[in-house]
Amino acid sequence: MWGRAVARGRRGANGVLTQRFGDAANSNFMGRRVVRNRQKLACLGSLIATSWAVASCAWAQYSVVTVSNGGTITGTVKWSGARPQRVTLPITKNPDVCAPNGNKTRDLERIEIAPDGAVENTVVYLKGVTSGKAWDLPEARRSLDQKNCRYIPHIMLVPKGENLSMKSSDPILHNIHMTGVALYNLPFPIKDKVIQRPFQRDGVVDLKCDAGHVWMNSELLVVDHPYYAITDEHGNFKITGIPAGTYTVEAWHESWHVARTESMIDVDTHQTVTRPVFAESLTWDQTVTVSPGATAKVEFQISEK
Amino acid sequence: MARPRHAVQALILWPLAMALAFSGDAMGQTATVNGMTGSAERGKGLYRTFCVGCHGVLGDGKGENGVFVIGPLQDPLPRNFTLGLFKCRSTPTGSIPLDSDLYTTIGRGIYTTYMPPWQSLTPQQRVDLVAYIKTFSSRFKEEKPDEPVKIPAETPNSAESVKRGEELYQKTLKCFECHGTTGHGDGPSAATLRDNLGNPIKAFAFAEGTRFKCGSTDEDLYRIFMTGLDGTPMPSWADYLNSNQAWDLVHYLRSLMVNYRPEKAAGKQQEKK
Repeated sequence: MWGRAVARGRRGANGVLTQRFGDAANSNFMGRRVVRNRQKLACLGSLIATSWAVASCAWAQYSVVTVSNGGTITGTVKWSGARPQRVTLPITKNPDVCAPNGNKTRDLERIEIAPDGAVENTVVYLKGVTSGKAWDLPEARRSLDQKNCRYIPHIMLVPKGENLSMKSSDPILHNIHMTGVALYNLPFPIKDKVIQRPFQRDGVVDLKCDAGHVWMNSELLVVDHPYYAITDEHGNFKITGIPAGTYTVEAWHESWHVARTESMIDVDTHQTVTRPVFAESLTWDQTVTVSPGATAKVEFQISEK
Repeated sequence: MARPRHAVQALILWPLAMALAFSGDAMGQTATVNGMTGSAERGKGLYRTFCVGCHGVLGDGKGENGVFVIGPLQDPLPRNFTLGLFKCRSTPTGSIPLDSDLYTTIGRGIYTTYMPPWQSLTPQQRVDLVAYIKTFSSRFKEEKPDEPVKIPAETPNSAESVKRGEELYQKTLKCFECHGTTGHGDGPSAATLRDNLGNPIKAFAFAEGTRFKCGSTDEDLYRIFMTGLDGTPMPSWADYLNSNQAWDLVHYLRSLMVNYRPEKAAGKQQEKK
């Protein structure tokens, strides 16, 4: 499995046997190396520097630079085609808190389309950005409340390495059970107590509640640059402070398709309680060129995929 | 000519070397427990002999014996190591376990499940297995475990301590929601509980059980509710309890455990290491 450090030497013009690098796969490959040739050492040194630079690029941290005369991308996300199936569930627990207006069911908010076709809660962002403006994501997206058994906001944006603040405004037991790139499971039995946790891996986190509130769901994106926006109820989004260039703009939306369901019959109440588990999220890409100080418009049409 | 040839060789070998070094050769994974160092290379042979039947060649819990594991008592499936998600840890919720956590689980087994206590393996063999198990998930390369939960000395048990624990269980923390007001695992939310894989899972029934899956002593119990059992609905209560309150809760929970015999608990006997 391990290569041997083979002393493959070459007798140089000065008569000295210099040992070549060992088998690269051998963790001991630095091994014993007789360096007699200063030029070889210089070459080696510059290659170490280059390799280190190349390797560190692979895990490039976002770097904040001055963006003068940055451009803007605005646009809307609209639905096209037949309206999709919405998922609603009956309120089967704590109706006094979870259904204060007497509603018997709760929509799971997986796909919000206005009458004019505007799609809310779509995350729009630039792909592959490693430097740019200072972080300016809204604080409200790093703060989660559980109110009337509903996550507010439905979509969170947390910069990588930063904290999410969580609390419950309900006087009943909730827990926030995360899966995805974060795996925290945190309880909320006490109203208004705030808990914070950091998010170290970028990607998507799904949130659910195990305390009987099977309809509670939300999505959290841990992001490694600030060029993110979320469409409002009119389907509008705006990304500012963009250095001039050509970008891939991606629209991300959580899936509204139920991949499978988890059903249990509550022996006490004789009710069947079902939690839907949703499929993978969906993305749509477009290319846009941003000029200094100018606004580029991008329109997304999303539909059943 | 000497210079160009060496340069060319270096240009090929160095990037290759760096690429390989940074890709993290899995068989270089090690584990350290109690002064012993385990190697994934040695662990792999042991895994292929002892573990692969349930946990599978790919470490995903889909070994050929796995299909027989789910039974009427809702035995949990063999762990899927590729998720890097473990119940029995001394680290806070969301964190990977310590090497010693995995080592302890192998030696102790998981009571009421098909995971036996592997006392037939030497401590060194168990440490080697820990090193190999860590190769199944990139979390062990990319993340460091968080600081383990500190467990101070147990406070004295007393009627007052049990009473304070009862207040925590029944009122403040609302443990009864899953575990039931009498600790039978039949709380209002109990029927809807599912683990991270979507399989039904039961809340521990203190009124019936004797040992826990992640231990049997008072310290183990303290650790379980302070770290939470990741992969299950059981959360971490570390944000709600100082150590005195936590010991009060332990004392109350023990008062629910009518089948528990302290003198038979592993903590009182020689704990098998």
